[in-house]
Amino acid sequence: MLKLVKAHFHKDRAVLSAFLLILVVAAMLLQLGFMVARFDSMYEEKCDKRNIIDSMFFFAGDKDAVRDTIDGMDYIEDYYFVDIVRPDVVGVSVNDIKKKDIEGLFFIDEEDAPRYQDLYYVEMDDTVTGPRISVNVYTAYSEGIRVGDKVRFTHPDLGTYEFTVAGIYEDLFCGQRYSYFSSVIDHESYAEISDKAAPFTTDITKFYSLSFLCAYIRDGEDLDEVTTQIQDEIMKAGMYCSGYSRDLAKAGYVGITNIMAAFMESFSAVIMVIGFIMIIFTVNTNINRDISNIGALRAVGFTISQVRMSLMIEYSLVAAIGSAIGIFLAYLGFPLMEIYATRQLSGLVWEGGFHPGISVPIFAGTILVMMIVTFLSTHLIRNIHPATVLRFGLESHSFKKNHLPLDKTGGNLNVLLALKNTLQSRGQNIIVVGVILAVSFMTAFSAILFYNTRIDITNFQTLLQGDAPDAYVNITYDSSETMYGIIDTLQEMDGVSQAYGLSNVDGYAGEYKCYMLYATKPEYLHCGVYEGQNAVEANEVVVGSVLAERLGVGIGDEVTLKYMDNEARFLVTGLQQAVYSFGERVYISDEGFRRLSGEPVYTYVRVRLEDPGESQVEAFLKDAETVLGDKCTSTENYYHTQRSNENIPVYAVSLVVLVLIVLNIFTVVIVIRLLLKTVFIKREKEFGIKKAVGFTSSQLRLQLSLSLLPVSLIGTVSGSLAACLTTNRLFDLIFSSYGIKNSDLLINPVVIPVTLLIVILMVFVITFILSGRMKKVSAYKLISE
Amino acid sequence: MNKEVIIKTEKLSKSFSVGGKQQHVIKNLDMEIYKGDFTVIMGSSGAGKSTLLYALSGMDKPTLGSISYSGKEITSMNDDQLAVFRRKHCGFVFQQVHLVDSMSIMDNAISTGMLTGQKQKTLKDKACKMFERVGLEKDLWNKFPAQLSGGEAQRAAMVRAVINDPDVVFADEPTGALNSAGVKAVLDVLTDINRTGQSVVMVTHDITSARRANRIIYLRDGGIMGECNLGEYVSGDKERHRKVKSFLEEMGW
Ligand SMILES: Nc1ncnc2c1ncn2[C@@H]1O[C@H](COP(=O)(O)OP(=O)(O)O)[C@@H](O)[C@H]1O
Ligand SMILES: [Mg+2]
Repeated sequence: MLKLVKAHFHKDRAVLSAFLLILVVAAMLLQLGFMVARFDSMYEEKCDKRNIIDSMFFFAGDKDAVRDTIDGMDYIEDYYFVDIVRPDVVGVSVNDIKKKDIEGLFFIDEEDAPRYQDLYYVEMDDTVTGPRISVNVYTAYSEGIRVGDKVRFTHPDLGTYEFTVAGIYEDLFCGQRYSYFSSVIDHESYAEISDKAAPFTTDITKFYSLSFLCAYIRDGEDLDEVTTQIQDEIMKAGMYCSGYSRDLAKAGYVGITNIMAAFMESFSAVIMVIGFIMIIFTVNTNINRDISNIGALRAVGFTISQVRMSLMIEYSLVAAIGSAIGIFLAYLGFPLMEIYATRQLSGLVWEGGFHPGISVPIFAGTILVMMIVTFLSTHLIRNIHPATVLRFGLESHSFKKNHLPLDKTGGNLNVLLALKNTLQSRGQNIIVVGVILAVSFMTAFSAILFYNTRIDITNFQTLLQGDAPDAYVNITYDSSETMYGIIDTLQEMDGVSQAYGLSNVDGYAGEYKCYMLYATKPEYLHCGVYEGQNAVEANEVVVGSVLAERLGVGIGDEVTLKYMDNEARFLVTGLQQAVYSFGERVYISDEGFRRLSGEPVYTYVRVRLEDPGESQVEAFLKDAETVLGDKCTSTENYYHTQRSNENIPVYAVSLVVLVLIVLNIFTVVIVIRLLLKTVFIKREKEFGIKKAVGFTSSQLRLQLSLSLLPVSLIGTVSGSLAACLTTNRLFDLIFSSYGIKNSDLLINPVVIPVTLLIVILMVFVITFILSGRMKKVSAYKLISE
Repeated sequence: MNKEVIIKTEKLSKSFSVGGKQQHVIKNLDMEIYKGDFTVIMGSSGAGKSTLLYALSGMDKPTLGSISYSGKEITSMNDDQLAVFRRKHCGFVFQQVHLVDSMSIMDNAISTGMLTGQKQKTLKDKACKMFERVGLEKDLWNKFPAQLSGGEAQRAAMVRAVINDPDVVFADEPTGALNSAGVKAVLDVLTDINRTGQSVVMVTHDITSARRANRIIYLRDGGIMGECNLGEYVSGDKERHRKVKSFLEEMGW
């Protein structure tokens, strides 16, 4: 038996090594996918281990008053307070290189930090003295901050501070994109900054000096609900308060990694499926080739199951080796992926070591599936009767029809022979169509992603965050009048198509907590309205998808909105979706907000240009700065930011696109290699004869390459069409938990011809290159045999 | 007798390395093949007949020495140049037939013809005529090689061999696998081809086939041991038979 396996191995070496490669990549991807998916449960485990709080509240006011408010709440098990300074927006430069402004960074006193959280330091330099800062992993990796760097923060009210970076730590609450970003600074600097911030604590537009209420909630409570209740009670006591639950924080940490993991797992599955289809195909061809051999084996007394078993052992060994190598490579490569991708995507640090819970199932699963696949594809052996086979062989050439007879069909010799071949190889065609379909789907899918993140980003951006302007102009607020004046001034400037203010507060729709966004011109907003229209009038509202579902309202219905203690009825004019808000937003107009007795405050103005572009926005911002003078504190070229790697989702998508491209090329190369192996086994004699009568190697390679094109064409057209039709539905599915109902990524029909061109060219070129061994096919050898 | 030389070899050698050891199959061979001749190469098994044939026809490259066609060197050509050369100048008939299994015999002939840029229409007419000449019925033309008998397939292969009007038709034991009826038909076609002006170089093992030649070259240990010139072939020529037989006996066949 072992001899049998060994003999097979020797003969099928080339084919087996190709499968090995496929399995290595698939297993590696699967392992990486599962590892990335692990961040989800890892977050929970880390929280348990470090006893992380369940809810956190920023408040501006007296701690005793807060204490009084919450002391009666029996669902709060425990709590503590931590003081912080939180500027709204700070200018940042790292090693004198100006970075984009950071919104939501806050400072903690180094001496207070252990009380804030059991922070896990990834890196720490104890020797740093003087003004020093440590930042959370998310901020460090997305801003490119390293230990030893000089970081300078500037703020109009608080002044300028320069720190040396002393450490990077993992913060399990405020180190992700949804809430605020923590940083720990030395005691002296903190004292200085907090003195400067103290006067602003009562200013409703500038809550700089704040406190945290960190609370542990009793098990079994709905965190979001309880968090909202606590926040309400504190606000009722007359203090500004903003609460975050750990569930929300978790989404910020692992939202993107979960999506990435889903992508990786599905791609791995696609590759596995391709691999297994190829195996079925190959095993069949090989059995056909070895038929007399198998017949002979049976004649000398091997049973069917022994022959079958030997094949299964052979392929299972390949599966075992392939998945083991893939898993090993994943462990080897993951640290790199961690540093360059997951840290800034998740803000979490991977807990190293071997994860048998992931690797063992992949390893065992691959072998099991392989055994099933080989078992099924060796069913042909059952039908082989040794006597028949030995005497007559199995009819290997049962050509039935002479397609495209040359005496009747005119055309180019190479094309005709290629087409004849295509029409004769039905099994091969099925494989090619299947594989190319999958590859084209992935290609078109990545082309769509590329288009939506690099060429026309508007819809993708809206889908993620709601309204995204070309530029932000941050302004100082002194009075409502000057604020509206500034907006008008900006609107009047050359090249500006829309200038408007958009702010958000926490409010209620019915009894549900929501983000309430109000805008000077709600009709300007591109906020992801997928049904109905923007709110325009003072009594109109656009409601987020999830909220609308909870409230059971649709377009034309009325909802009660509540801000602070004031309520008003609003008419729903549209439904809105955006990943970042989990569908829990409402959009109203400036006047609408006043109906709730709110006083609109805009600390920045959003601007859209008539003809946006990176340099146009840059030029506009320069002009705006001159025109506004000291009324403008800072600006941001958001047109640029959206399209740069600072935009994490865009960065994540470009990673996905890159992975897809590499995978595609890899898959095509491997599959064609495999295909050619079997083609050369099956048709070597034909090639030899053709060479003898005067075909050159290049002609034969051309014919071979051409013969794959018609089926590839079918596969590409259907694959890219399928991608065009399903990409948005796929996105709906992936982001369904974020309240996305109706993704509207731009699907440019150009995707189809582009995919067609790319895939067909790839198939053609790769086949041509890989069929180089045609040169080695010798006419002479064939004849002298 | 002043015949035109079509193939000329000078100091032709061919060796194979078998298990690290050089085996010299053809050694310093000087020979000429004449235009219009029906040349037969004979010799005991393993004498190097096939090796010589495939070197002569540009299918395989010699180790040393040169081969020229009507004065044109082919030894320095690369594989692709040789392929282009073969399609124009050489036709082949093999013992194992070697038609392309996946194509009808008509397509086998036409596709080879298309290699030299002939029109499909012209080729079709030419192939039809040839099929008729070799005695293949019309209903066989669109069949696959596997659907034909050995003799029929070999005759179809001969149509393919001459479709490009090559200077020389090479045949390596074309009758080796056929029954006697098949043998005769195939030899008749070769003789017929030769009569219409094509040079034929055939390796054979049997005396019946050898009788068709007007020149027999006997090979031994990679060199020419002797040769025998005969007049034009007439069937039933007893004298010719005796001459061939005694030549072969002399060669120690
Ligand atoms: N490709 C090859 N590799 C090694 N040895 C070869 C090869 N082709 C032929 N030979 C050897 O060369 C000798 C002559 O072979 P061949 O020309 O086929 O003889 P013939 O056709 O006269 O019977 C034989 O001993 C054979 O083993
Ligand atoms: Mg021979």
